[in-house]
Amino acid sequence: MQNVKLYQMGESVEEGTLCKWLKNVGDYVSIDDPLVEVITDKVNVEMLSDFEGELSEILVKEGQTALIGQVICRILEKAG
Amino acid sequence: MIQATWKSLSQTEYDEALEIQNAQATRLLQAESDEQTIFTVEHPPTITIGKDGTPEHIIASETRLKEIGMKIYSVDRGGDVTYHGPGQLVVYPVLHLGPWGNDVRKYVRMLEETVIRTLRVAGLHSERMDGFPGVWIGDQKICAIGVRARRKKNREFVTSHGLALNIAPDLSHFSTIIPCGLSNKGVTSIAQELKESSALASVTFSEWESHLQAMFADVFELRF
Repeated sequence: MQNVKLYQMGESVEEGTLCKWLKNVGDYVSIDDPLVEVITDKVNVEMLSDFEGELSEILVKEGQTALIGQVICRILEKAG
Repeated sequence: MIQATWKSLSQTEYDEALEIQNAQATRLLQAESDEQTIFTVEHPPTITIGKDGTPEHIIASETRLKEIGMKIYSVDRGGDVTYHGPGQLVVYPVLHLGPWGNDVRKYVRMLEETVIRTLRVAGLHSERMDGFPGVWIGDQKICAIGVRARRKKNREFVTSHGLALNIAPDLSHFSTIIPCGLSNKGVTSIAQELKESSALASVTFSEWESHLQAMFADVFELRF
């Protein structure tokens, strides 16, 4: 199980608001697939997946704010 | 100094300019290029709806929109509804942010700073407004800002979209929308402000582009 954390977006950025999940729980996610759109201080950042597997859990819902480094979802990697 | 390219696309349709900037951003993301590029363009009358926007913020009648020849697009940037049109200098910097600390927030501050310094050339005092993107003169917006960032494999951010500075657009076209969903804020332009202060009435579009380019060079430490 991989914990996906909100990206570092710069020294001065402490948090971001998740505006849209681009994958749903149960979806298969490949590396570099767009996962979620984050808005921080007038910038729209598209977070890509660093992992491959099934999106098993979304911990921060659309419209909610997360701190940098906070776990926002979990991806279950395929065994083997 | 950082080497960069300034590309004036002149009059170009919104979707065509979008394709050009996206193609360059993709080249950076796939590490096929590391060229820092700033595109400038002047769009025909266009309304774009960002990810936070709604078509309800377009308030003009079909007849009025037709009369203006307005084109309407939904786009992949943050923000609400924005108008673009003749007399507005639109700037799409496609930059990889490593040289500036890879900080998306700092990047937006630098864009704002570039515009504020450009306006100062004509003696215009403008500022940021907390919580409201863009650059403002009083409570009237003179420059809209909306940025999109994607991350390369090496964790460096690549930007697209950017800013729209009102030089001398037809301000009545803005009343077709509720700009950025803000019903209680107005818009202004350099021409409008200079008419009021009568300081520098006849500065052309291309001169303002040169001023802006010089300020980009200053603020971002670029060499074109």
